[in-house]
Amino acid sequence: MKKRLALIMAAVLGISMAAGCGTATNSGRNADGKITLEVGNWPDATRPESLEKSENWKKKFEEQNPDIAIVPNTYGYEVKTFIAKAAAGQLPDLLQNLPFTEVKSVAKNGYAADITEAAKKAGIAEAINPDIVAMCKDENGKMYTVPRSAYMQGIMINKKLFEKAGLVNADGTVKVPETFDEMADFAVQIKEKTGVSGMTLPTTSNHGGWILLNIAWNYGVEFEKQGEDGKWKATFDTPEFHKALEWIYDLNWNKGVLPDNKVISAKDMQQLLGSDQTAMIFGNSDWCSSLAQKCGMKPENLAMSKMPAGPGGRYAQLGGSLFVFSPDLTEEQIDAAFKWIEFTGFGPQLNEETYRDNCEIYANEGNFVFPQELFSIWTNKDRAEKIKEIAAPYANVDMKDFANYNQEGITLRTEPPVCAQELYSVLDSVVQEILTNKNVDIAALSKKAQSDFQANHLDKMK
Amino acid sequence: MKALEAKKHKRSRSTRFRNNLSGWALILPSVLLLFLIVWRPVGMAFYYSLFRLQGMKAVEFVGLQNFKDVITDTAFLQTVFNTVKYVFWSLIIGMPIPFFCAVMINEMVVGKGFFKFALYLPVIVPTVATCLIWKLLYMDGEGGLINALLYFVGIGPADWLSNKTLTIPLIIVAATWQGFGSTLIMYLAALQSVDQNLYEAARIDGAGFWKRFWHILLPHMRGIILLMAIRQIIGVFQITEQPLVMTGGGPNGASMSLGLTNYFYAFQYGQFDKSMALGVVSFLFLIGLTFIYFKLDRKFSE
Repeated sequence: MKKRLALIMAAVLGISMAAGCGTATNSGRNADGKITLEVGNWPDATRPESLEKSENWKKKFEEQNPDIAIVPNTYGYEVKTFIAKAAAGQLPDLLQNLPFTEVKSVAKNGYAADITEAAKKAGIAEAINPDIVAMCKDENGKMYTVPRSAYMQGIMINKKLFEKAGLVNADGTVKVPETFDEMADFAVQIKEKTGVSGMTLPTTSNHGGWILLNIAWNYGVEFEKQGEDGKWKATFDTPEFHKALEWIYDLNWNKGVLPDNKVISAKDMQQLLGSDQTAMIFGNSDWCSSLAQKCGMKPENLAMSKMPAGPGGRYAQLGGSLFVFSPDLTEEQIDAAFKWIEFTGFGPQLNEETYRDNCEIYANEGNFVFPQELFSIWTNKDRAEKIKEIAAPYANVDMKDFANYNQEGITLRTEPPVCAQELYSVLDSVVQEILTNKNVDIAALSKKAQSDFQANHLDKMK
Repeated sequence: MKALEAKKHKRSRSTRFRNNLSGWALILPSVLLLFLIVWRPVGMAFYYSLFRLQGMKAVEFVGLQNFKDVITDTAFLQTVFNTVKYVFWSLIIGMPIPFFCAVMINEMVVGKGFFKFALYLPVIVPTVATCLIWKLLYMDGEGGLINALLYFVGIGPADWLSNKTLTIPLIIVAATWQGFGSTLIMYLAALQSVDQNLYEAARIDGAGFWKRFWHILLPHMRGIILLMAIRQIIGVFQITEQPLVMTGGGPNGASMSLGLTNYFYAFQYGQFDKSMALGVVSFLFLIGLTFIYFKLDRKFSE
């Protein structure tokens, strides 16, 4: 009896395991015969207003498109989980906030659907800034993603601290630094008058390297170059790079304007800015939402400015976020996804109603509502005008505080084409060494970083 | 003759198997689970470490190239050295504390239950939460709790995690605080089996605590101490979450461990092939240690 029971148990377990291993193929339709579209980044219960808005949109969208069923999914892009999810085929059908840097690897690894045709049909190429459209394509010119928003790297300023330190113009706006030296001076004044760290640089999670790259560009540094033989060479160990590192060294060891804590990620840095513990950080308009939602920053307390000019020119990184489509979507699902994108206000035609909904909820949630787009990806001028009209009643920031966050006199650059994350991790270590070792030999450090990056990453590229 | 014997042997083996059938059936579920979540992934890691992967798909057989890439990384030697440093400090800091706590609790007359419970408590706190608490304690500048205390008694703030020589021992202190409860329970259990007659006899003969400790307790506990040491080496050799949360491997790689490098290969760079290769290297090393563990375990069980 006992024996038989054990056998039965074993059999049941075996069968259930075998069943778990099976995979279903995607027909793209549910039991009612409707086209299903699983939409990622769905708000969860912690944001009740956004959730209600999304539910309403879903209802309205399904009324307008009776053959489509929207399936909410709260998964949002995260570096750590994305590849595993993608490899397991568990990505939502439509995911937003994929960073521009990931386009090529996502395409190469087969984690995204080729949407070249569908994008053509939707008129993406004509409606969006061609530089940005180019960033959505792989080496063969195939399109795998659709741009959602773009940003330019710059300086984010805590107005309260600037006002306390007296860094104010005659018209009541805060002064913004135009050069790196001026930025350091401002930081010193803030430290002296308020006791708070004048500025903060990140050091971990590749954010340290990413910001260092943005700083060093302005000192005239080129990080990598492709030789005639097609091989990539690291080229950043130069006197210009040393100058950039000296600027950081000076901020910490001579001027003492950086926080004492040296283990800082971009998130920590945002937290410091939002809670009035630092006056300046390098950042971009894409961070506004998280500043408001996670760091408790009031929209009226933020000012922004473009990257300061350095001895090598004035450069800033162009970045942004994308929509990405799950690779196993059927053609009709891809069409449905484009319809949803259009409906939610991110297609070539502005959906005034959903845009207004967004403004209203953002305003209620204490999130940033700008009276105009800070950085538009659209070529259509009417669209910008219409957005101004819709946003005006909800706007909670004054564009005067963002007057200098524009593209005049600045060259936009994209991230290094190969091994960008690896480069950032090497540069993370450089920043850490500078900030924790008073007797650091900058020339030797820079030389080692370059040879490490060359040997460990560029030479081992596959 | 020989063939007949072999046949007989075979038959006896198969009957033996049939007699044990219910036993086999009972362990089958755990064997299946072990296969699914331990053996199969280990086997797959071996297999995939020989390929170039695109995402998680094998696209090209490259032999030992991934191993070569991982071992020739300019940070590899430092990382191995760091990992050994973690192990070293865990033996210095992490070994004596649970042992002495166990001996103390064992000697206690009142409050035994409370201390057992209180010291075990950190074990049930999630590792990441523990790391975040200790990160706050260690934070540089006046914001850190330890520095705030130092400030309070009039000593200036010191550098903690950003001090390259201190960072590994400090991480080990945090890890010890969290993990020593479970080792303590093992020691306590072993202490229960000390022959009380011996103890009483020694006490009557006038042996003090240290004499009893030295001549009765320590010889009795030698086996389990050695086993715990090996277990600790195996555990600490894989240290990943603590440096990940507390320092990110910094400053400038000073707290980078093999486990964390492995994690970065996979989840920061998406280079799963290198991650597999490094995993295999660590695995082989740990298998060696485990072998020693089993040898010792058998020796001391006898």
